[in-house]
Amino acid sequence: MNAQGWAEIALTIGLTVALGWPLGIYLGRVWAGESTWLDPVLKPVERILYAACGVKPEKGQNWVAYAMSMLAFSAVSFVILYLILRFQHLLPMNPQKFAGLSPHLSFNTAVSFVTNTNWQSYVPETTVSTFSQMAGLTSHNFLSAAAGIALAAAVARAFAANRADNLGDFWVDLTRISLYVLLPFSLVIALAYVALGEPQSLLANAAAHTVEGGKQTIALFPTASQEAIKQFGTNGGGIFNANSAHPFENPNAITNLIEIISMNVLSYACVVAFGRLVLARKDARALVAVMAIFVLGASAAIYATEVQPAPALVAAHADASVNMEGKEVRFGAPSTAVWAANTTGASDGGVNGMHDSFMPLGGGVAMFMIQLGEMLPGGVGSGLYGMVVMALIAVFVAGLMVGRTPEYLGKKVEAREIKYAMLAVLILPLCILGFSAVAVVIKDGLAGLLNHGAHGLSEILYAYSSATGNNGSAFAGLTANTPWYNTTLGIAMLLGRFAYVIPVLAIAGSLAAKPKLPATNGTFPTDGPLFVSLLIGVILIMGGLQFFPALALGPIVEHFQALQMVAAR
Amino acid sequence: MEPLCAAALGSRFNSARPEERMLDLLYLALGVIVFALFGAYAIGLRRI
Repeated sequence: MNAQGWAEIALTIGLTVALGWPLGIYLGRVWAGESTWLDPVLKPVERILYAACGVKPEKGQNWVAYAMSMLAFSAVSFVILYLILRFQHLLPMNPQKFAGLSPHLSFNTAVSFVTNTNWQSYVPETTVSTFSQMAGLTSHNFLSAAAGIALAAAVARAFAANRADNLGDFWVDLTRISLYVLLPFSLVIALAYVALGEPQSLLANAAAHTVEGGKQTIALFPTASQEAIKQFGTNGGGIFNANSAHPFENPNAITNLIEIISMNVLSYACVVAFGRLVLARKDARALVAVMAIFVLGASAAIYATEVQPAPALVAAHADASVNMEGKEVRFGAPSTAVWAANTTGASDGGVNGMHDSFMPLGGGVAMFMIQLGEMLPGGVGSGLYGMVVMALIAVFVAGLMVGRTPEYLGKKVEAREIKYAMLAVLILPLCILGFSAVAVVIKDGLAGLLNHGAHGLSEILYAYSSATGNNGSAFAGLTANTPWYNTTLGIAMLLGRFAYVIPVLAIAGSLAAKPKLPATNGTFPTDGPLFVSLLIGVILIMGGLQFFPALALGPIVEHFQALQMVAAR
Repeated sequence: MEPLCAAALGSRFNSARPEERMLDLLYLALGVIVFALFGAYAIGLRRI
């Protein structure tokens, strides 16, 4: 560890949070339907889209109608994407002549991209055609991200409402967020990536002659455009198997910095926009503080573990001052650590190093960040509503402790909201621990493992954590392209997204119908360090209670096994 | 679901291997049924 490494981590997180502020102000205007500097160009397009689809922007929806619209949109998207992937050999723009994906892989991939997970059980550059990549996967990178941000907007409107049931219109939110936020910013970021050396080509591949006189075929794709929305929409699905460790996806330190910032900036921006819409800017600042503290803590923990020498190399008396297995030399340990914390704290899942090659505790921290619920700062939209759910639980616990009626941002928190909140948060341990428990005792589950013992358990646990948390990163030692894993991981992704979101929308509907109360002397302040500490405690205790036993059998046991290996050399 | 696939892909769908056609229908039905169940879940939550 050195000062340069710590400065790199602090600068990356600081810049991300700082840029979230102006973006959040802009996003708040988009949520509120106010004018933006893009109106002259995009307003006519917006009007045409509403007229073509029969959307009446002024009408609004209650929470059930909002949920039904979101589900209908996702269901149709799933069917279309499944058919594109399954029958890509019959569709145009397939210069690689790739066959259609198998039924179970098509199911897994369609669910994965519709739920903003982008888990990939396949090697993209040898499996997915250019058409599937662009029309199928990249388009869903925009739409699934827009759907997540739309849900966050609905939650914000619930807190701003006073005895109302209107949460906005899902179709309007989806359109405005795609048009005014995701498309223009992704275009600018993509152009920056092209300028910095990322390819943007419809050619299948390039032929290269090596210095030894051999020939090499190098896969090409419209990489820069995919990379931009991959990070900005916290999607994470790479166009190459090595993801952002591949030199085409992430050629240098500057693209690396832009990618880390863009994978989290919109999540912070959602919280800032929430604060502006609800007129609770200080409370929003407290939520941002909690998110940044977790990311900083996780980055520090991973950095501290990853600058240790690899135990197996120490045991073999090899020179290994830093664990560089699975890391890119052009990024080094600090950049890999801060990326890993950001990508697992958000529901991004893109990687610039192999998490499977991290030290046991480094990989364990990354896994724990996913298990905490993907709200630190979380996926676009999902980070905000996940954090709001935790804040409701925190004020409820505080209310029980001191005998006050729990309130949050002027809304009384009662038994109904807490029941909905518990239904949402319990889906994580149910899916992660339930599916992992089954996978470790059946033949099909164990067949995909390349490692056994504690690390094998970690690989399975990480896979179901990643799928349920809609993250998408993986411990690559698990061969997941099997009917068992593709099907169960697909179901975990669906439950992790929609079984979480529906109770959250129910909370929004319930809170919107309540009167907005003014703060009194009896109101527990939710904008200060006491609340920040309480919220951190609630998140840690809930995560710890649910997942610590499983983590103790995986990465923690593996850590002690590594220590034993070094001691016995 | 089968008429939908057949309409979209015509004779190409019908010429696919029978076991794969069955799996396609199973996975598409699984996805659609799960989404329908989520809809029912949303309606059920109103009673809490």
